[in-house]
Amino acid sequence: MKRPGWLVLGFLLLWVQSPLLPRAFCSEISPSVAGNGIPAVAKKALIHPNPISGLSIRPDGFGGFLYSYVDEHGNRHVTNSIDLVPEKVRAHWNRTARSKSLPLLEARPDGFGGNLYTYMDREGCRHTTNSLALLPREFQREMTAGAFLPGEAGRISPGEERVPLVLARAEASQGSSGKATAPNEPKSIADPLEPLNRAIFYFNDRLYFWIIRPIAIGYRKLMPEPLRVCVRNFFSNLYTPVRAVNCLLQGKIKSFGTELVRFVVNTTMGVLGFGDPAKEVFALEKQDEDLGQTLGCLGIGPGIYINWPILGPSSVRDTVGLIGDAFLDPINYIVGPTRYNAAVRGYRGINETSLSIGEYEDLKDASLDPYVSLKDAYFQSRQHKIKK
Amino acid sequence: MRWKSWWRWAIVLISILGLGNPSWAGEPTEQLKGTIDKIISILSDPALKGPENAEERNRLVRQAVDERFDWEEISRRTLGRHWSRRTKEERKEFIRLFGKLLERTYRRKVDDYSGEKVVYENEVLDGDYGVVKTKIITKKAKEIRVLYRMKKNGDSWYVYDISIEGVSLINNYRNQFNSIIVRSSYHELIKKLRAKVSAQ
Repeated sequence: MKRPGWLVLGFLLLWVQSPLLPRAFCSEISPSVAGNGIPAVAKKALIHPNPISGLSIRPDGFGGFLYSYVDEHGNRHVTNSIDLVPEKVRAHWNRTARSKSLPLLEARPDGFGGNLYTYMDREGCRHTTNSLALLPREFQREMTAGAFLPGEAGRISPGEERVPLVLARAEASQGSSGKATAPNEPKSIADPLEPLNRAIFYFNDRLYFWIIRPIAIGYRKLMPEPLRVCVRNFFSNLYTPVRAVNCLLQGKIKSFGTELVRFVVNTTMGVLGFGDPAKEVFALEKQDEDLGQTLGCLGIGPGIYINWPILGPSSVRDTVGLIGDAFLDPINYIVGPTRYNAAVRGYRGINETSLSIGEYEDLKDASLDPYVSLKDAYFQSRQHKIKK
Repeated sequence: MRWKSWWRWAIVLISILGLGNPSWAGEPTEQLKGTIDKIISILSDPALKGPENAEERNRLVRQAVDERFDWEEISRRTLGRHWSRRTKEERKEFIRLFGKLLERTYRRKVDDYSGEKVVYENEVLDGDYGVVKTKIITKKAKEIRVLYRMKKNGDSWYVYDISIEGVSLINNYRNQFNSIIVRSSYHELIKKLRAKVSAQ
């Protein structure tokens, strides 16, 4: 009995909102005569079909924009100043439409051997041009980096590799259940400190080949590999609080659970973390998360590239992350801020290096400009980890 | 009970239909797998083992790689905007040199091959473009994620980029080459490439 009643009401509401509505009835809802004869519910639906019907934006033809919206009384407003748009409408726009549409650039062949580029600007307005020079700077950089070739269709959002059109859509819909990616990440990291960074790169390079590598090779001869892996496992297990807290901060409850279980299993069965039975027996992988990635997930870009002495490649964001993570690093509480702290970290570094001798050499050998290669590898790998 | 068996039949039917459909079977994965299997069989061939057979082994590997890699596409994307300013001869020369550079880099990796396994995880297709995700599992059970970007040409799929743990090879070289060209010149880049390739 209930269902037909709802159906009738539904049809009624549909009909009330439909263009089939008699004209005479329509006049009833004009503000001057509103309030006569229409049931309260229907009236609300009529005047106020969608309380925030959104902000639509179009170019005003003079280089600016016209913003139009419908207010809660059902009146349409058009203005050329975003400041005159009520906060509520603007907030809604910011949250939904903008975050979805902003970072996209589409390219399609113009049929004459070139490309037509369509992009959405910050105000949410679509532009199409065939000239690279007319693109906003952030997209220009993408394009000159060879993201598209003439006569090729595809789309990019800054910070992503160029992907063909439909693929991008498929990946976007797959990733929609996961976390939002930062909307405005550039494709390569800004490096205004390049001369200084290069000098430090040279310093680190010498430090590696003259001091760290010889020590690591000597250490490698003394310690068999399984033992060195155990030492690595121990330090990695000790670092669990940092990873676990960052899993939580990123809302990855499952990863957080994995880290907890790993810690318990490896500390007991794995004898203080020297073994990794959590992975070998229970197939629980380490969740590689840190504060830099957490900040990246929140949409914070890397800032500029910083090549630290000894520590190596980093960015403003990841440096902040490192400092934050240090507050959770048990080593700082067990050893305290003494010179033993540095000794422990130095030992951990040598142990780590002994397990990866040859990797830096390979990168250097494969590149024409090792500084740029390392910087890019660092940047790409960080972006990849943030997206995961 | 009847409901359950009905479902079982439906699943069987769907999987048969699915398997019959070549796009579901994954053309790019199939073709990539063919090439990788060929390379692995060359590397594990006892007749080709040892440093005295290095030349012949490398020749065969390069041949197998050439069948699957679109060197022109790789070079075009690596030079990016600088590609269009190059003459036909310059492009040919660049393709040759860049190919040599990659070959030289990967020769050592390939020489170290000791039974690592390749697992094909999945592929994403979009018309003439495809991405094949794989995992290399080393002897020490370490996993390296390798992603192949492929493009279809005729009936065959060709690799135009490789990403290792999220680091795209093309992007990395593009940034390097761009930095060299912008700071000096294209000819300086070629000079550096030649020097690198000839130094063993």
